[in-house]
Amino acid sequence: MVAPVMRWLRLLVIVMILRPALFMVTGSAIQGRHRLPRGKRSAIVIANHNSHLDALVLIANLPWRAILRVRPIVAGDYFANSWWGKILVLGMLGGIPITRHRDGPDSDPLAPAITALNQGSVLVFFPEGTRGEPEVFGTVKKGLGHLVAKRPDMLVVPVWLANLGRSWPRGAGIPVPLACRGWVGRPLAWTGDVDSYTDVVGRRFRTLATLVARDTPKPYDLERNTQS
Amino acid sequence: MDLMDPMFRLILAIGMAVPPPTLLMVIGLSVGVLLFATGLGQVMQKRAQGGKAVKAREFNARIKGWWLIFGFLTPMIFGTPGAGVLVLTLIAYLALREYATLMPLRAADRWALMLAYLALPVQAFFILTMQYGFFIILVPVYLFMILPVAMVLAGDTDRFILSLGTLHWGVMMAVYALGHAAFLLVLPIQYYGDVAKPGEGLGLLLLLLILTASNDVAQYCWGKLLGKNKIIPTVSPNKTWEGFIGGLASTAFLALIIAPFMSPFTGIGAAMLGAGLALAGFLGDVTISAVKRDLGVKDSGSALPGHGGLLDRLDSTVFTAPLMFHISRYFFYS
Repeated sequence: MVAPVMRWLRLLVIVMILRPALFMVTGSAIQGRHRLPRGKRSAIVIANHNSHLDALVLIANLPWRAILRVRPIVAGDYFANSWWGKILVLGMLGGIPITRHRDGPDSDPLAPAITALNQGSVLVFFPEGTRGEPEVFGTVKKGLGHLVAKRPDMLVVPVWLANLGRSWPRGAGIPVPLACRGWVGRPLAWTGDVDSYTDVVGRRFRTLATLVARDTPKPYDLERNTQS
Repeated sequence: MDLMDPMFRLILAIGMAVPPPTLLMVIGLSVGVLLFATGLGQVMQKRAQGGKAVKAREFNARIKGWWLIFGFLTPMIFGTPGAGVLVLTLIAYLALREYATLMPLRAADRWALMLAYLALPVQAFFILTMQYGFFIILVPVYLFMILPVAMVLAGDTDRFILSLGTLHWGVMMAVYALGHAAFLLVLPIQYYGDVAKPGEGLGLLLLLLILTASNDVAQYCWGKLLGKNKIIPTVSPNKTWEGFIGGLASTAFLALIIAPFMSPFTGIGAAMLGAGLALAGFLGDVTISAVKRDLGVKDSGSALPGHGGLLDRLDSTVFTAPLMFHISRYFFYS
């Protein structure tokens, strides 16, 4: 658990610096914010993953009580091997590095996440596991199911974020300002087994995606207006 | 350019400034109109039922949007010209971001878009230092040449022209046209130097904003009351000749009354200005309507409740600002 002074310092940095900076770069058009975890219970916030901005936008939009306890689940092979990852992601944002593959039959890559949940943390988790192609929804991996199976009573809040993959896609050096749109869904209930839960999560994300897409223009079609 | 010149001190000082009494009067009048509309909306919502209640709620959302706009403009109204230029640059930035979000730009356009954003502080610098020549060629000459170069260097020629046109139109509206509104703030200081009347530039800008906004409202009201003959039904089915002419007459009349209090425009000149802005405002309105229709969206964003996005509100200003700027400059400041 991070020292209390550090947690309050992090809250200060997130509210005073990260929030205004993100407001300028991505705006904050996120619907259904009231569904984000605000009490003292531990919770898991899940979202589709297109960009490094995803985690930042999610963290910055959480209620302050949740920011005090937020721990993003990050790829250990990506962030724990670089100095900037260690300072910014593991140190400043309190990221929990996990390995994305199993080392042996007895190892549990998700053990640190369970420990954090038992300590009352709010986890930020990307069930796709990787950013993938910008603005393309990959497949939900079973990691989330395995995690929730251990704590079936856990509050799991799904969030759909659109446009951040355009703003800062994989491989691009810096983010370019574009307004983000997001939708916070109702909490997901545990279904009893990992496979069906994974299905339910994927379907819920697709529903949220259509809600966001309803007021987003479709890609411009050059052929649409040409005469045949 | 000598930055030690006293006239630069007038602009480069970013801080508070109280507008002159005549301007305060017009601002007070505008707040009065807003307060009256707010009260009217509350009464409507209390009495209305069914379909009318929905209309009343829409009306109230719209009024709330107007208050939001007023709040946004407050630092400009009670600030020095320099502060006003910064506020308008921020608004232009948000408008450009809204436009870029709406437009399906390619992955290869990232650097070009980044340069379009960077043009904003450069333009703000030329406005703050009152370098009219550089300001007037920055976007249509240099940015228009730099943007295609940035796209070409990204190496993707597929849909190159389409993307380029899309981005050019965006910077034309959000950067260049709104830049003219910002330049109005410093125009009298550029001409008269440090003996310019305080708040004269603000008067020009507020006159532009008040006439543009009231023309939008007047065209809407006249159209609702008398509207029959549609002007361009395929673009904007609500725009009628009756609404347009009624709006034009109302705006010319309003300009005749308020322009002498806040600008050098008086008499027939003020009425002509009002009529010209009404025509430009109408054209801006239908042009942005066409953009939205092409994209298949009703609103350009959700920044202002009841109005849609920033561009939905700024649509007519995009066309009226350059006109206001050049008429003022030609007749009074050159």
